[in-house]
Order: sequence, then C-alpha cells, then structure tokens
Amino acid sequence: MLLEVGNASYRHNGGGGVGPLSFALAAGEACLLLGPSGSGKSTLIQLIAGLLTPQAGTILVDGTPMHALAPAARDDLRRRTIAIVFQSLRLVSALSVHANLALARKLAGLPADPARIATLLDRLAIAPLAGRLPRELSQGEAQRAALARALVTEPRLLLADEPTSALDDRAAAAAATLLLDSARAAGAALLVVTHDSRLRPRFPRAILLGADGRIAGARA
Amino acid sequence: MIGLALAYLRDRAGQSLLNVLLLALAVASLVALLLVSTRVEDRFARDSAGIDLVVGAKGSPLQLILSAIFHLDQPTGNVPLAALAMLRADPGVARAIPLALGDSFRGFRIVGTEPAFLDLHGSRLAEGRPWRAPMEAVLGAEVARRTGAAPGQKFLGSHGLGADSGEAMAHDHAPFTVTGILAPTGTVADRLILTSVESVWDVHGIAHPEPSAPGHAHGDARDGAHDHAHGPVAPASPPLAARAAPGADVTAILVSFASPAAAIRLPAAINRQTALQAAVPAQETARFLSLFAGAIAGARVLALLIAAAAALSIFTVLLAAARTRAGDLALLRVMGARPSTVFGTVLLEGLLVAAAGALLGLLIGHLAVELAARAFPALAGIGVTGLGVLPAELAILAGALGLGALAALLPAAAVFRADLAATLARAH
Repeated sequence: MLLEVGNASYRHNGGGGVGPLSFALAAGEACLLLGPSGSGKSTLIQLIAGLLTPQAGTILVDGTPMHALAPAARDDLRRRTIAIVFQSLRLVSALSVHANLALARKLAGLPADPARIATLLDRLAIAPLAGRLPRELSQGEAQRAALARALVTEPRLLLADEPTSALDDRAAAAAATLLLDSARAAGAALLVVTHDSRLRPRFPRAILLGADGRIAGARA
Repeated sequence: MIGLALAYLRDRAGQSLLNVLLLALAVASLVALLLVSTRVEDRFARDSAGIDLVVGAKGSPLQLILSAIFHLDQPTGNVPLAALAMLRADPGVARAIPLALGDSFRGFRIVGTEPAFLDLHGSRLAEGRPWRAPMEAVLGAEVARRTGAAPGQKFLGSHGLGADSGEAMAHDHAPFTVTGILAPTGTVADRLILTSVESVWDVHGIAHPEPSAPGHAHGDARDGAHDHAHGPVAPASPPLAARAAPGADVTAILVSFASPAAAIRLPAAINRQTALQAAVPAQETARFLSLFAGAIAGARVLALLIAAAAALSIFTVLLAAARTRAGDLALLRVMGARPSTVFGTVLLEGLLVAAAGALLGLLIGHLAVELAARAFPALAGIGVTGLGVLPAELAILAGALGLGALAALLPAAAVFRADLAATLARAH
C-alpha cells in the first residue's frame, strides 16, 4: 500500500479535527474523500503530508510512518513521494507558470527537463500560458497550472484539497477528469478531499466523512 | 534560489528600485566624502613631503603654506634675497629652495625657482630639456596637457596668479620658451610652469647679470626644434645671490632641515626677525584640514543616516513581503524547499538590493566627484578626482552588504517561526 491511515486522529485546540479513521490507498488507485466543511478534510491532507503529527493512530506513506521521522527526513519523503494541489494556493506568485514547474522539479531533487514540462503544459492545454504570472491566469487556467506543478514532480501520491469548489459544473467535471486522467497516466495514487458532491459519480471509490470528522460511509 | 529572489524583486520592482536608489544615495555620499578627504590629504602630504619649513613675508602662516607649497592662495609678500643666503649658511638647513611668484599662464602659476625644486617632488623630464637661461621654462604634465604646449613653443605670462589673469595683463615684452615637459608626479609640480628666478626678475624689470648658460639659445622656437635631453635637471648657474641686483627679493623659501634640532631652533629664530615669518607645513596643513574635518564629519553623519533609512526601508519592505508572501513560502515548503532554502531566498533579496545599491552608489560617487573636479578646477587643484578606487571603498561596499543582510535577517528568520499548517489552513 502506498498510503495506510490506521485509526489516525487529530483534534484542534479550538475544536474540530479529523478521525479516528482508517483507510488505505494502493499505487495507481483513486479515491474521493467527501465531507462537509469543518469535517477535517484539510487536516487529513496535512497529516498525510507530514505537516501535522497525528495525536493517535498511524499514517504510513510508502510503508514509512511520516510522524516518526525527523523533520528533514520527513521533508525528504514528502519531496520524493507526495504532491499536493490546493484550492487557492496554487503557484508561487512571482514566477511564471513555466518557472513554477521548473522550480518544483528542482525542489523535488529532479533534473531539469524542459521537454517534460512542455509536454505536460501541452497535455493540460496551457502551453500558451507558460510565460504568464499566476495573477494573469483565470481560475480554470490556474488550477490546471497547479495540477501541472504537482504532476511535474512525478509524485507517487497526488493529494488534491477542494480542487473544484470554485468552479461551475462543467469546469468541475473537466477538473475531475483531468485529475483522474493525469494521475492514471502518471501511475500515481490520487486522493481528493472535497465537500463538492458533484465529483462523487466520477470516482470509482469514495469515503464519506461526517461533520465530526469520522467515517460515515464508503462506496467501493 | 537567486532566480526566485530576483523574481520576487522584479515582482515589486518599484519598491526594489526605491530601496536600491536610497542605498545608492547613502553609498555615493560616503564614497564622495572619502574620495575628497583622502585625495586632499594625500595631495597635501605628497606636496609637502620633504619641506620642513616655509619662510616668507609676515602674514598668515596658513596663507604662506597654501601659497608656497600648494599654490592655492596669494603670497603674503616678498622676502629679501639675503634671507636665502642666511638660511643656506645655517648648519641646521640641508636645503633651501627659493620661489619667485607673481605671474601665470592660462591659470597655471609661473614659478621662478632652482632645479632642486624638481628633486623635491621627484620630477623628471618626459620631453625636451631643463631650463638653462632666463625666459626658458619647463611645463608640468597637466599644464602641457591642458594648454597643448610643446617644447620650442613660446608663451606670454600674465601678471597675477589667478585663473582670471587675462591677455590684457600679458607681459608682451618677455615671452617664455618651453624647453621641456615634466612627467606626471601626482604633485603640485604637475600644475606649475617652472623657470629660473632670473626669468621672474626679467619679466618684472629687475636687473641682474646674465648667467652663463651652456646650450642656452633664444632661437625661434615656433619651428618646433628642440633637443631631447631627457633626464635630471643639471644645475647651470652660480649662486643666486651672486647674480642678483641689490634689493632683489623672492616670494618664499622652502626649507629642509639637516637635523631635528633645527626644527626647534630655526622657526623661533626666524620669527624673531621683523621681516620674516617661518611656518611649519605639518602644523598648518593639519589646521587647514581641520577646517574641513567638521564639515566632512557632518556630511558623513548625514550619509550614515541615509544608509540607516535605506536599511530600515529594506527591512520594512521585506517584512511586509514576508507576511503577504506567507502562502508562497508555505507552498515552497510543501514543494520540498527546506526552511534554510526559504530563509536564504529572503536573505538573498536583501543582499541583492544592497549589492545593487552599493555598486550604483560607488558609480554615482565617483562620477559626481569627477564631474565636480572637472567643473571646478580649484577642486582638481587640491587633488580631487573621481578616478581610481580606494581600498577603503571596499569597506563601504562590505558595510552596505552587511546592512542589507542585517535588514533581511529578521524577515528571513520569520520563515523558521512560520506555522506551515496554520498558513495552509488560512489559505483556504
């Protein structure tokens, strides 16, 4: 299993949080985690990425418990394995789309590969926007650029946090298709957390979170 | 990370440029002050090297020093030639060089003196031969460059020592012939026209016997004929006193002591005489420079305040940028950047602004000083130039970079304190 969440939970001081919950994700598998606002979806993403440490339970990424690693080793595992697409935090603001992708590869410790970047931008239909700054992009363009930024690091686990909440039906459907197709093409496991129920029919597997952050149901 | 730091600077180009200009202004001020004070002190030290005492007419000792060594002020008057003989007879005097002033050519002073004056400034001929007879003259390197005069050419001196001594006051009856050009020395000799004391007497109608002068010829120099006997100037005449008419005088006498004891005895002995005063260059130069020291210190404080304002501005901009960019910095961390990498990027922004400001400031400082020196010959006259880099400028450069790094340190260090999870949560 690429991702194993075992009875993991995290509660914020001010209330709210996620878990305890358990689920697993194999390489190449896609899963939708659907829950209302405040159910701890973003907290779960941060727990998986090692940005937060679970207060109980375990989270294994590629068989390694993230929270047990020293900060530098945790950063290294995240850099090598995980890419995250955020709802609003998409790209480094001062860099062009192309420079964002080049930087992402550099930070992931991968060699420069302009041809790969060009192919990816072309596949996501944003090649003409390569020289633009993030503020010069529309919502949809920025989202595709953020996806390109995540995929260019060749991640084995792709996490997407509310990738469609600001989009209309058509754009949301296109974004979901893009995520699924891109993850499949890259052979990456995909976990999308969202409150957007429009995505549910598009995913072969879905986990439902209750408002208390616990699993309320699942559909394989 | 330099690419990212540059991208952030470009992204807020207006603020970056303002900070660069502010720092450049501070650095330019400091560099200009350093250049002016160092060049003036160097020039004064070079010009007065080997001169322990100046003997001249009663008056301001500073005026005597300025006029006789640096050729900046009017002389205090004349002293009898007998004073030269008296000094040369004193066992405490190793060297006494007479100076006869009064005329100039296109703003450059004509100095009647003896060949020993050239030794004093380490001058040697670059072209032509030394003066050997009255009305022959050797030009300092800058005089030759600025006037375009060459050996064999003639020129007329004008009465007066200032740049405004014009053709109307020219000594038509007594043209000088250029016999040689001196190599540049970086001393006052570069700006002087040197001739014999007798030439000055001739111009002003003071009678004296014609000295024997081997090789002396009054031929028409406009044909450009001249010999090329480069090298040290050879003494060519008997003692000046033997050649002088009764009552002849000189403007000042430059004295080098034979022993330290003379430094105590001679000035007091000379100052007791009613017609003479002795001024010590080291004391008067220090007094003269102290007049500037206050102004330079004040200007330096102002420049340092501007530098502090620049540092504060860089600090404020970077701190504000670090806050507005919290999301970016968090994204960088999520993308795999180590905290030290993000810290280095913010620090680099401060350093790049400081480096650009420092280099621009160096350029502006040198340019401003050089333009001022060209616009005001009096500044060039006291050695002020914007050409050449002083070692102390490296300290200013390092100081500016240090200031940039210091200003960026706190905003950069905020990266280590940032709560990544909270920032990401806020970004939703």
